[in-house]
Amino acid sequence: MNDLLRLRQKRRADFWSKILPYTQYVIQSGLAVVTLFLLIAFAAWYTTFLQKLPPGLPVYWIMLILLTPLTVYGTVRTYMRPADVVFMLPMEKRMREYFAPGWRGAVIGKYIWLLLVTLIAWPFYIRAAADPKPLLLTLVLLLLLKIVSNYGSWQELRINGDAVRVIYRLLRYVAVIGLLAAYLWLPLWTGTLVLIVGAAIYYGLLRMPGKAQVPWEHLIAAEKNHATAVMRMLGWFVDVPTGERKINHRRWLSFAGNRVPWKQERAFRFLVSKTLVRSELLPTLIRFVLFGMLLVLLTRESWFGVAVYLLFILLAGMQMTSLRKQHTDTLWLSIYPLPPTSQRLETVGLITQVQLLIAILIWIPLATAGDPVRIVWTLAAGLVMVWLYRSSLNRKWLRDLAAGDEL
Amino acid sequence: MMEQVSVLNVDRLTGGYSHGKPVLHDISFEVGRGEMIGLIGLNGAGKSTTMKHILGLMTPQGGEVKIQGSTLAADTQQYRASLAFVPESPQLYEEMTVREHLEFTARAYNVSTEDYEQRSRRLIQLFNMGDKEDSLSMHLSKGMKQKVMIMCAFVAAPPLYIIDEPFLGLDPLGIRSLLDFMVETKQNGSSILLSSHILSTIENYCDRFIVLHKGRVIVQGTLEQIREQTGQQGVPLEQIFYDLVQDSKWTVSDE
Repeated sequence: MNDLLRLRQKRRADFWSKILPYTQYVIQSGLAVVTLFLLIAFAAWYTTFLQKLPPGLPVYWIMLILLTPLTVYGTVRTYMRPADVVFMLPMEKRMREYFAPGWRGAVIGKYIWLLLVTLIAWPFYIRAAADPKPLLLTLVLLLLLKIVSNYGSWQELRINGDAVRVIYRLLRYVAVIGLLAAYLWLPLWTGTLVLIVGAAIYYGLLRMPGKAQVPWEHLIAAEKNHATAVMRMLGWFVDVPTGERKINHRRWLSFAGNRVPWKQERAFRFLVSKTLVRSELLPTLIRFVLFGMLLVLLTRESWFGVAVYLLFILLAGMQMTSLRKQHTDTLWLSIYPLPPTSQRLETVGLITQVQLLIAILIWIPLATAGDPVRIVWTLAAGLVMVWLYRSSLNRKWLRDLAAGDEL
Repeated sequence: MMEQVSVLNVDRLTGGYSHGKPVLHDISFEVGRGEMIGLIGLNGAGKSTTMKHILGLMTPQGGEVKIQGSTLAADTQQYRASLAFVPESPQLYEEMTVREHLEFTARAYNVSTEDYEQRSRRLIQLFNMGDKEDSLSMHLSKGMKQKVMIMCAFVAAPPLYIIDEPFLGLDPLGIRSLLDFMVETKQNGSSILLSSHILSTIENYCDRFIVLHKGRVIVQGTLEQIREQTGQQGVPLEQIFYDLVQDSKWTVSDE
């Protein structure tokens, strides 16, 4: 094994050695039980659903929605560090060797999930579709599309110029979604041909723009974001170091926090509001809420819908606990004359406010059908859940303070 | 001019990162109202450690630090409200713009909105940051980040400023603006404890100097007093400092 491969392997082992100790706490946090419950509930619901398929379901659209995310997203773990731009630059020409396992891992990893989703959705697809495609061919073509998409996402990192890079990212989304749609909607051989030719054209287009041999800074930034995302996800269940954060200006949300009353004890709310709207937490929450609304919409007429509703409120709250950890290590909170309770009160206050909003948003699709009494009681249960979560957050924070975990 | 009232009082301060191995040994000095004091020393002399003790980030192993007559333990919030800090390396919130940093600081220090508006406008203009006020701090150059740190301290307008190596990364205009503003701040009655290696610059601005070496104060006083103590009349501060840290008479510890 050459030195670069050994280095990558060592870095990979280092990263996972930081993550693995936390997994037992994640399991202990109740995730395993919740996952098992969800799996059983989903299996029961899916079996019933398959037996009594509602007529006129938009099967192709559903398949497109299910298959697109795993086909389009293609992040490659590089385990690169900021110092690499100095110390590994002399080996730029050899970096293919370093990246190769990452490329393979990214395709295989996501493809396994894609395979799983396809196999689970397949019984529904063959029952609902007028002219279903063969499974094996579908799996092969999905693999082809996955490889092309991942190759495209890697080339995007190499492309010079921000504007061109954005155009190529959009092109990848359009290409993958368009080709998947063509395969699903068109007759078998036409669809297959369009997918293969389309993938080849997209591959050809990727060769056109100027590219850097190794996009050092983009790779380091992408790796930082990836590692942060993993830690953030762990942070929903256990206290982990938050590490580096990905920040986005989102000028359209710059007003957030500006209307917080101009009082010393409320100053922290100003800061934490900016953190919420400019960190990765906001898009994560938006995706999460949309997914929750979709699931609730699909299950709104059963008690399972109520369970999903309450679960999503709880999980939204858990995601937002990362706000608590964002500013634990900052110098300024040790120096500025903020009242000692303001960090806790303002963070918990903001989390509660957003969780309330989420409780109402996810409730809307639930309120569109079913028993009116149940609809109202479900909302009431959601609000109680928010209140309980607020109390639990406060209690835990005070307990940690008493234990001397935080200042 | 120096007045009798002491804003900062460091009395026989001993401290460091681990017990039994103090970095600072019995340090005593005062900063009076309207004074600018230069804290000078080689790398590792204990300047930053002294500042951390004053800021309350480290607990003294011996002695005490008082700001406006009060220790941190006696009245934490009043103590913190009495000082502003400019660190050697800019430490900003990536998710906030320049203007938002100023606003957060003003809110935290209970500055009125009118004062905040007036001070922030003046500081942004003075430090030439008008076209950057809506930029996220993560998109600023190092010098600009340093300017934001300085502006945040001055928007708070407390009685005492602790300023650690403020000139690093600043352009010549920025250095000049800072020096002028420090003089103005001093004239308005605030006090400044300033650490810097650019002795030729601070020589003309500071009222007194404290020379730290290996965690001890080896000399302190006005430039004239230091010249008298070292017997080097008419010699610039830089040369005096060089001779002081080279001369075993001043630097040999009495342990």
